[in-house]
Amino acid sequence: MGKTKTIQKTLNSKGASIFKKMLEDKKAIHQHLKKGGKLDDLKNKYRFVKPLSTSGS
Amino acid sequence: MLNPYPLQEADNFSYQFITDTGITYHVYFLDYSYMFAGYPALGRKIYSFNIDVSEGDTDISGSDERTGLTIVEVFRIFFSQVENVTVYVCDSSDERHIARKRKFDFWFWKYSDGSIIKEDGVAIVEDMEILNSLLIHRNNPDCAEIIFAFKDLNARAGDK
Repeated sequence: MGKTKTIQKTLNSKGASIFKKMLEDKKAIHQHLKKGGKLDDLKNKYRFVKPLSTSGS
Repeated sequence: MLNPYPLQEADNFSYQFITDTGITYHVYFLDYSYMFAGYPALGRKIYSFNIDVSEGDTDISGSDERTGLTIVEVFRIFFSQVENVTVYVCDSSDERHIARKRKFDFWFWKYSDGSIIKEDGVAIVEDMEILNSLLIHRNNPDCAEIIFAFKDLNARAGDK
């Protein structure tokens, strides 16, 4: 296992906006799934990355 | 010996697996490379890692080691491209982010084979605590540079 370190800072910078955007997207997608929606419905709204194939292809 | 749950590719955007207790998990990655334009070392293949439950109640299902094993399997696949980098943020809207982080850390500690390095951060944004972690393959050719950039990202308090 790799080593783990902790950085704790108060952010009101670009870093803050990045983490905030990630969190907002996560929440919005969570709500969509909870309502029975599919990720496919959101493909034009978020930049989903196609997972690598589990078959290794 | 426990095995990961079978991963299904239900769509082009996520992995899905269903536990023995009937919980349906979605695991997906979002591309945020475009947001790291000011951080060239980070800006090539930065994805957020997300795990979500669409069916079932994790509160009543108890702990399930196979779930952790399955998440690690997703990372094994994801990091088969060693240039990939992922950031995990814990949802803090329901005040359960510390528990989520603890579970994620436990999975990482227990099941990681040592090929992945995890760097933790805590961002305070508008009085909200956002726990975050960077995960990077040890053999990423830019490993040290990317970790440095991640630290710098957290350290730039006050930048507008």
